[in-house]
Amino acid sequence: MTDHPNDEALDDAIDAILTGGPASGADDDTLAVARLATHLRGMPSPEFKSRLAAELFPQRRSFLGRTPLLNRIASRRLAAPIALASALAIAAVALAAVLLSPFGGSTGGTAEAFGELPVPAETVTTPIANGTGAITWQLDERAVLPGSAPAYRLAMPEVTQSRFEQIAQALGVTGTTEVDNSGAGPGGIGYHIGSDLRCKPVSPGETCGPSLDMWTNGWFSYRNDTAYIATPAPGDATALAAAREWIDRTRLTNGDAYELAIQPPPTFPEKPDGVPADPAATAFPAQVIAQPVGQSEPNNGPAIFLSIDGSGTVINAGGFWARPDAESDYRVHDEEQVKADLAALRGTFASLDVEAGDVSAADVTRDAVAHVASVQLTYRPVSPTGDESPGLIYMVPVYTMKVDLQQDGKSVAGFATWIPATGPAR
Amino acid sequence: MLTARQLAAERRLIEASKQQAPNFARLYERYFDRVYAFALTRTGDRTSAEDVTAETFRVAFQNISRFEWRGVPFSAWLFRIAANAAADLHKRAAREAALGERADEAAEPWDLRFIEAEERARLFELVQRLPAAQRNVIVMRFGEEKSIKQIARAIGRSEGAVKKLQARAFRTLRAWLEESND
Repeated sequence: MTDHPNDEALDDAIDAILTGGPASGADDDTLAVARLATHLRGMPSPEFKSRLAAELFPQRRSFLGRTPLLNRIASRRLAAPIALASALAIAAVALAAVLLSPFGGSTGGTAEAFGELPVPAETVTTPIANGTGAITWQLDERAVLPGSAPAYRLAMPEVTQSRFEQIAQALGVTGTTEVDNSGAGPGGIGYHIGSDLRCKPVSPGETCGPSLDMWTNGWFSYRNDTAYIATPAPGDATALAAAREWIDRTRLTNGDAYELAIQPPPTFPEKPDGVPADPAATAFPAQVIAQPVGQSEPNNGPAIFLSIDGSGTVINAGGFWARPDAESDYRVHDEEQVKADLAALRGTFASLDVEAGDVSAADVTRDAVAHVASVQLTYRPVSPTGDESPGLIYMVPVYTMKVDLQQDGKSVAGFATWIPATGPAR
Repeated sequence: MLTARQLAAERRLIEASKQQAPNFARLYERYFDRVYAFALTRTGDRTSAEDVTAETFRVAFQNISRFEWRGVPFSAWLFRIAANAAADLHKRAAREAALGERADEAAEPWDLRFIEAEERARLFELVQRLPAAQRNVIVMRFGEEKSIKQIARAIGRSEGAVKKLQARAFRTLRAWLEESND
C-alpha cells in the first residue's frame, strides 16, 4: 500500500485505461489526471529509438570502432524478458558517442551492465585566483543531446617488475629498478629505473640519461633528457618512422594494431622549467600520438604520446595502453541535467576547469555569460573507485563543450570545458 | 509554430545534413518524438508505429539531399513521408486480412487526429523534462510496458514508492500541459 490513497486510486485508474476496463472508485480529478495515460500509452521505448538510430547511422562510432572484438554487455534492463532483447543492446551502442549534441532527452538511469559508473574526478586543477564572478550558462538552441552512449571496460595489461625491466632493457635504460609500493603514488605500485627524474636540463649541454617509470595502473613515462630541445623538428616521415620503431621495440601495445598521427606543435616546451628565454628561436620536437585503430581522435583513451627530435630520437613518451573487452549502453544526462550540472560544477570562474583557451581577458571578479557553442561526447578513463588505482578501468562518457565567454555583451574568451555525462544528479 | 530564428536554425541543420550524412542524427533527435507520435496516432499500436517511424526516417535519410528548403518546417516533409508509410501499411494490412479497424481509422477526419498527434508528441517531450526518478517510472511503465511490480524490482524501490513517483509525474505533466494551454 502507498501512504497516499490518491496514488493508489490514480494507479487503479491508469490500469483501467491501459486495460480498457472500468475506472471505478476514482474521483473526477483523479480520472482527469489518469486520462494522460491515453496519450502516454504506446510511447516510444528508448530501446527502439536507439536501435533505429544505430540502423540509420551505423558509421557513427568513434571510440574504439573496431568493436567486433568486444563483448557487448546488455544491461539488466535490456536483458529483461521484454520483447526487445540482446539484439537491441548490440544495436543501441552507436549513436551517442559522436553526436554533437544539441538537446534531446535522456530517459534516466536504470542500472546498466557495469552498474553505476564511477564519475571522473571533477577537481579543478588550477583554480582561477579571485574567480568570484558567477557564470551563467546558456546552451545553443541547435544542440541536441543524445539519449545514451556506450561506456567501455578496458582490460589493463598486467604491470610486473619483470615486464617493466624487459621494456627498460629494450629501450637501453640501465640501472637498478626501484620499487615504490608505499601506495603513495598515483597509480598503485611504481617502478623506476634510470636517471633521477628530478634532473631537468634546460640546455643541450646538460644530460641526465634516459629513465623509465611505470605504474601498475598501466601508465608509463619515458624520458631521455639528453636530447631535450637539441635539434630542429624532424620531418613527418622521420617522426612517424621513429615512433613506430620505438613502440614496436617496447611492445607496449601488446601487438594490438595502432595508428600514428602527427600532432600540432606545442606552443611551449613541455617541461615548465625548460621554457627558453627566446621561445621563437627554439626548435620544438615533433609530437606523435599512437592510438588503437579506429579511435579517430584523441579521446582520453589508450594512447601513447611521443616527442621526437630532428635526429629521429624519441626524447620522451608517455601514456597507457589497454584493450577494451566490453561495452554497455548508458543513458546520459539530458539538457536540463546538463544545465544543472554546469551551474553546480562550473558556476563561478574559480570552478571553471578550462582545458583549452585563455580566460585572462575576462574580469574574473565579475559575472559573465558562458554560451555553449557545441557539445560533444568524449571519454575519460576512471577506475571503479573513481581514482587512478590499478586494475579495472572504464572509459566513461563526458560532455566536452566549446564555450564563448561573454561580458558586457561582448565575447571576451573562448575555451573548452567538460562535465560528467553519467552518474548522480548534482 | 516555429519562430523565424528556429526556422533558420533548422535550415542550417538540414544543410549540414546534406553535406555530411552523420549530421542527420541531430534531425533524428529533434523529430523522433513527433514522428513517432504521428505514427502512433495514425496506426493505433506500438508495432505499427515503430514500423512507420523507422520507414519515415529511412526514406528521409536516403532523400535528404533532395529536400528543397522552401520555408516550410522540415517536420511537414517528415509527416508526409510518415503518412505515406502509414497508408502503405494500411494497404498491406488490408491485403493480408479483411478490412478491419485500421481501415476504419484511416477514414476518420485526419485534421482532428493531427491535433491529437501533436498533443501526444508534446506529452512525450514533457516526459523528458521530468525529474529523473519520475521520468524513469513513466518510461518503464508506458515505453517499456512494465508493471508497477517490475518497475519496483528494477529500480529497487517499493511498489508504493513507484506509484507515488508515477502520481507525481502525472500531476506535474498535467500542470505543465495546463500552463502551455493557457
